[in-house]
Amino acid sequence: MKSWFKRHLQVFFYTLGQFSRNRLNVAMTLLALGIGFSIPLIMYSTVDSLSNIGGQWQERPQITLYLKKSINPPQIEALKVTLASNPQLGDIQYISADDGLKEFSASHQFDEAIALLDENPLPPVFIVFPLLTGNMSDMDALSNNLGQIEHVASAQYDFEWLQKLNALTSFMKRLVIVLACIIAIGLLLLITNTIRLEISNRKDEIDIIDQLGGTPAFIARPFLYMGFLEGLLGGATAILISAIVLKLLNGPLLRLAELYGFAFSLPLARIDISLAVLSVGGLLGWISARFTVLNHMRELAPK
Amino acid sequence: MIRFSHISKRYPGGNDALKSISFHLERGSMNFLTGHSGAGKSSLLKLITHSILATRGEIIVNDQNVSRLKKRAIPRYRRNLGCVFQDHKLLYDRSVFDNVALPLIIAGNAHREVGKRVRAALDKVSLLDKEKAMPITLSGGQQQRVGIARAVVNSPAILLADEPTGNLDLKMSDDIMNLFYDFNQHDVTVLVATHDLRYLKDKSTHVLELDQGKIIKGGTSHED
Ligand SMILES: Nc1ncnc2c1ncn2[C@@H]1O[C@H](COP(=O)(O)OP(=O)(O)OP(=O)(O)O)[C@@H](O)[C@H]1O
Ligand SMILES: [Mg+2]
Repeated sequence: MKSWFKRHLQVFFYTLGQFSRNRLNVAMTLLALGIGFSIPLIMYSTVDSLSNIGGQWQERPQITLYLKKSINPPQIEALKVTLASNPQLGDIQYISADDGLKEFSASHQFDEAIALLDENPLPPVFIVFPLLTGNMSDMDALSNNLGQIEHVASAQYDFEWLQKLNALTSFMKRLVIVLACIIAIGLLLLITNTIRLEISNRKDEIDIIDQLGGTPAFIARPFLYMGFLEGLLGGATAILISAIVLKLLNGPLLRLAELYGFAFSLPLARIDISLAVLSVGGLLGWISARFTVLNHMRELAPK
Repeated sequence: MIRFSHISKRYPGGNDALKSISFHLERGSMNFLTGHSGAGKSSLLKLITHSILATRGEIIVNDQNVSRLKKRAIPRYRRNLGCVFQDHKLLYDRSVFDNVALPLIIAGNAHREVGKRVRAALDKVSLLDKEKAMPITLSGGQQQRVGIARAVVNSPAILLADEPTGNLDLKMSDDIMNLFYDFNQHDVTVLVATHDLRYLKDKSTHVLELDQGKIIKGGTSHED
């Protein structure tokens, strides 16, 4: 067992040595692998984050009731009672015009511009959280009813676009999976090709070891390590590339999200996704190396 | 030790390299294999190492039926043969030491054991001072001796050599042939393919002579 471990360790370091001898080739391969892997990785990270917003909101849809500016405090109290007694509604939140303005200026840093305004342009609002979930037509009906109430200027709910976003993200998720599969095949071929090249570079060595009584496992081992390491390091490169790209995306995305009233940013690298990428990379590399080596081994059989 | 019975070898192209030959080499014997170019010497040696398959007949080596070897048993079988190749077949990106160590590494020997045995083998071929050298920096004869050290490093019972003195001068050839005689003194069964008539006259050795795939000396050719 100990010698088995030692032999594997030897091959591992031998392979690393081979890598450092072919630095340029290896760097090119790793970069190609990294770019290939990073595309579905970036897409997945983005889509996953988007669908998380959708998910959060869908669990708690809300309807915003914009009140007429003419409304007075007793009428607001009365309206609050009316809303509270509606069995279809859960929490109710009142935001006065002043509070609304404060919140707006705090989150958008428009202090100076707002200071120029003579009067507050924002209406007071009620935010209500319906108890029903998911059903679009129920939401529609409820929102319509609430819009008809006296002193309510209009009722809007943020459900529709979330529904669309959800449909879009689940489509995107499917797209990412399909893309990832296509790219995986490409990467499989890429690694296969580098292994094939390595085998043809070391044909004499393989032949000699075979003649000296090396088992197929012994002959295959350095190539399996090479494939595994290439896949693994390719995955690591992809994580790095995608972190850089996501970092670049985060700035504009933050601004975009703000327009929709979200605080939203992409995590640069999630530990679970990174581990998945590394293991998929290593596995792909190992599989393609194994496939290539076994294919070549058949030529060694005596004829 | 090595017994061929009615062995024929026809290559895929239709070349009949060996035509129904039989012979027997005694355990611990010294044997030479000769014949004109294309007579079938290399083919005969490759049959022993199971690098090619016989078309017909039976080969018994060290009580093992070579043609019936299971695929999984081939590596272990080959480890009991020492082979010296005409073209050396050294690994040119590794040192002399690593080249000679290769059969031991393949067989999974312990690290300490490897160093000891590699130096013993290099000592036998008088190359102890070259263990760190790269093969490419050695002369043809020295490279051939590295090949011989590699062939004997794991003390095989059988030593096969395909024209080991092919393009060496007389002095160097003698040195190398003497090495083979030396191994034979240590109970190794030796079979050397050679054109060199000087050694073939030696009365104490068994000579196999091939002519166009048939044995004309030292064995039997069958008319079937
Ligand atoms: N791989 C092969 N495919 C087809 N024919 C072959 C192959 N190898 C050898 N032969 C043929 O088999 C015959 C014997 O070849 P072999 O190499 O055994 O001769 P040899 O005695 O070793 O010759 P030399 O002294 O030149 O090395 C030759 O006619 C050769 O053309
Ligand atoms: Mg030959």
